[in-house]
Amino acid sequence: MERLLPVIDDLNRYYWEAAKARRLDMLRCQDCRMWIHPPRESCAKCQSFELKAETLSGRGKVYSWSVMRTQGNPGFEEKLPYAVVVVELEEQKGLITVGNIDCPIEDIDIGLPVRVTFEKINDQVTLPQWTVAGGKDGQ
Amino acid sequence: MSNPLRDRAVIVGVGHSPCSRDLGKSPMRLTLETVLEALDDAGLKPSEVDGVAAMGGAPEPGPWAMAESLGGDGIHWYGGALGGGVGPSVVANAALAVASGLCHTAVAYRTMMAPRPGDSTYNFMAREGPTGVAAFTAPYGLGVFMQYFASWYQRKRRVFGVTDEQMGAYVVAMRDNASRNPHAALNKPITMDEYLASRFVCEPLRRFDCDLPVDVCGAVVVTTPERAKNLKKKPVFVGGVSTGTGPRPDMIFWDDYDRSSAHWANEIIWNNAGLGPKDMDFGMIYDGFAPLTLYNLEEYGFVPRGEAGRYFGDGGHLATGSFPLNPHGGNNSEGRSHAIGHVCEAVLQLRGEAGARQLKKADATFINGGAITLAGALVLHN
Repeated sequence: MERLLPVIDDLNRYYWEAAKARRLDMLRCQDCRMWIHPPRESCAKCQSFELKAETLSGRGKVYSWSVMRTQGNPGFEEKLPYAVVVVELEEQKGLITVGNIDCPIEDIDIGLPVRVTFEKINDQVTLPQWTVAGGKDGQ
Repeated sequence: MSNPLRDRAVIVGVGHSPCSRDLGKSPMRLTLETVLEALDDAGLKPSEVDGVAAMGGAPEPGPWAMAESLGGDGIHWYGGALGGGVGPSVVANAALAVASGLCHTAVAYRTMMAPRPGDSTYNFMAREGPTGVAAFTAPYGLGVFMQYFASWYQRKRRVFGVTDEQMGAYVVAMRDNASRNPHAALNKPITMDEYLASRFVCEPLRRFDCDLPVDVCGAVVVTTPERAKNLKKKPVFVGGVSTGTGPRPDMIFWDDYDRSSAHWANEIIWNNAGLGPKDMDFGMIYDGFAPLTLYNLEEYGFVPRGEAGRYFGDGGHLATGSFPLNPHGGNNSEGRSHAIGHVCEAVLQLRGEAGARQLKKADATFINGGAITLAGALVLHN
């Protein structure tokens, strides 16, 4: 089976357009400057509707992770076992995103510094993914 | 301030089906038979019921189907769960309705059916064309519910040093407890070595950490203390109830994995009940995934933060321990009932009717339901 790809709609289009351009963008409240992810219509803190996409540094730390060893996710039948990392982004405490990581499972740990990479799936969808920061390219 | 609804509702009847992969009954028949068992236990006729609490998502029959089946002339109140705590919170909602005068005699139940071949279940959330939050998770192979909880558990283990042996001590004890529970699905004792050999389904979660989907119904009858005086069984008082959730109601994008929704339910429950964690003789702690107990024990104040693993390692949860837990075997070993099994067992223990499982001291207990983003709490006492 093929992996499930996002339905791109008016609320999340900024995210997938940015990823195609190899940027990690998320919504940010233009009034109180809180970052919001996943997208919603209003600021969770100050109720403002003035949310606009801004570009993040693409850096964060592994907040947690799991290693899937059971079938159930389309497109991942041949990939078991695989890790899904939960990343806390450096811009804001509690700003969480998820993805896969290109390092061996044994190397994953809480606090591991990571940076975003981009995996092009097709002309519509590029997925933000994660790699260990401070790798051999020195970043 | 004392809560005016404190001790204004009592549980007077309990019914509980066996837990099995296939009981050979329709959900409606299973549910009605269990409700009738609870009413018979109370000494009430079905037509005396004027309130029904049930969540009623298929396959569970909802309050309307139940009202239609009980032969009365309409009912005064019906509702679902109080917030998100499933089994215990259905009972909590019925207790609030009785205590506040919306009805005088309510039945509350939870029915679960093991998935049959071809059934979809709520555990598999990955669907074609993911939208909303799923658009950001499904493409990464994150679409099965246990993966969400495994991410929480991994952090708990690393931050607080919870070990395999500590979690194993809990599961081994639940299988042992279940061996004295004729309703239990997993009633054969296991050893620590067998627990440690249990395969990972989503690391760090093992198969033995997960409850077994079963056919089951649990039901209770709730009425007023005044009406209970004329009934068959000693009433069990509902001291207090609560629910709550956090500011980011998605398990993965939640902003603090060290603070589950039980945090907010805990802020309310003890003042409502006029009792504290130290007044509870035993705990009926939700364990749909066994490590959920770590969060529940710590958030509701039974052990200090980060100490739940050590409490298991020390055997605190055993019938002979400092704070016995889940003498029926929990959902972990009795079977997946969204903790309605916890409510039924609590009532039997408080009435001294738990047979070979009966605890020495059982006059007050705490029950909780809900997994991480959902919370419901209930204090029962004699």
